[in-house]
Amino acid sequence: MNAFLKKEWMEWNRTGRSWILLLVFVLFGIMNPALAKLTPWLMEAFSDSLADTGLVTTAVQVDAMTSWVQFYKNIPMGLIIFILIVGGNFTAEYEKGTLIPVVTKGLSRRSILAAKAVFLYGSWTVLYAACFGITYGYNEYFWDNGIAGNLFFAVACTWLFGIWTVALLIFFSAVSKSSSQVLLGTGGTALGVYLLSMFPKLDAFLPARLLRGMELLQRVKSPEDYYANIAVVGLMVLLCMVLSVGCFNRKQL
Amino acid sequence: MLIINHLTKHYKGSSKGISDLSLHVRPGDIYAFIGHNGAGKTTTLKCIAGIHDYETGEIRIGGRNLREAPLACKQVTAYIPDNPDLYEYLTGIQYLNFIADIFKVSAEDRKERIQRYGDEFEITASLGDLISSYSHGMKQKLAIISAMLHEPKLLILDEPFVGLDPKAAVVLKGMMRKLCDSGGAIFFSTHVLEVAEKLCNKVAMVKDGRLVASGSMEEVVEQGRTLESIFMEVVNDAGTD
Repeated sequence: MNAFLKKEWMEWNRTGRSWILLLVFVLFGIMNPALAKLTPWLMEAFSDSLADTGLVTTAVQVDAMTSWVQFYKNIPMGLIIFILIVGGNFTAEYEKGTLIPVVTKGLSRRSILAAKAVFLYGSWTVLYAACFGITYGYNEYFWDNGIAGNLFFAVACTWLFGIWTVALLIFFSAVSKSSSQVLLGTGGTALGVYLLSMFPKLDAFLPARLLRGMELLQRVKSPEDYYANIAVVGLMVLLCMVLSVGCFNRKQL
Repeated sequence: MLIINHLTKHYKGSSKGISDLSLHVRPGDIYAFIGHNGAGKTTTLKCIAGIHDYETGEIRIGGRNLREAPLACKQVTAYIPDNPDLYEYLTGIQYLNFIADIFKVSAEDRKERIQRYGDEFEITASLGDLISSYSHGMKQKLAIISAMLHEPKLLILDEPFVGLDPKAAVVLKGMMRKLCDSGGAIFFSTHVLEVAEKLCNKVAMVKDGRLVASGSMEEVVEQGRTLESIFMEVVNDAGTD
């Protein structure tokens, strides 16, 4: 498995995927506090044109919460970009036949799946941590993160939503033949869950709530309100991985 | 070394595949596997290599059942396909180290073997280049080197001479003879019947998924005749049965 992990790392670097994703998440990390910081200036700059339309701007108060609002707007976009870029991680190998020499040399399919899964989960974690770390650092420098309630719990919930999405991607990669099928499956399932979460009774259990970290930061909700969602997500991730192993073992490479 | 008993494998929705194939490849054998396009040669080789599952039958490698002990069988086997699909974004040496890591070949052994095989195939100087820059022949050479790194006992080759220059073909034949002289065995498919006749001590012929002839080269090819003429006769006769 370590050999395959090493290969994945080399391939990610050579294809530029690691650098593109790092750039995206670092930029998002910088943009969150930057947009917050620029908001008063922007409001002042556009106050005249806004006044013409009947809108009156008053003094704008920005703090760490303004930056965290941006974070929770940008992270779903970052996750979508991540999924789009890594969506072909498995299927490209099926199409090129590059798994065949590896499988015939005795590397078990389970090891291959495990290596790819570890790499995808690890990449999401590192990129997410980079974005969060940069935002947190700037917020601490300019304002005070203490005004945000349950910050680390909220951030962990959003990370877990990303883990769930990656688990879906791994499952659909094990059953699908092309990257478009993988993306349709992953995106379709995530969208379906999001739509179902509009029903309050279902929202209490579905993964979509994990994206709404602002409710925790603003103390509208407490961590206990998310425990059921976390449990369901944990079970779904486990189920996806178990099914993926079974399907990948039977897959015609 | 390799025992195939009543192997049957058909593709879904197709009659193509292999039916009731039985063969025995002993240590020291260089066994040619010949047949027309679509006869089932690659299907058979892929079943032995563990790429395809099969419906019925048994494959034993080194005394072990392939279904019961697949990893143990693969540890002593090397499979080289007709079209080597390698990781284009790795350099040649990175790919060889990756394969050596899978087989847990020690640093000392892999260095010696990579140098030796690289020099024999005259590819050592190119090992630092990306595989995407390699020609088909160079990729084939790299695939052969990667297959030999763990010193397999059984070589399964699918049209190994395609894309190789004459010098590399000579080197490969030498490696095959050396492997068999040291107790290994080779089972390979080829369309180049002259090479099969000169190199191999045994031959098996398939037509439309069925074995139509097998045995030692002397048994199959009568004196005064060529493998090519026997092949044409056998496959035509099998067609009229």
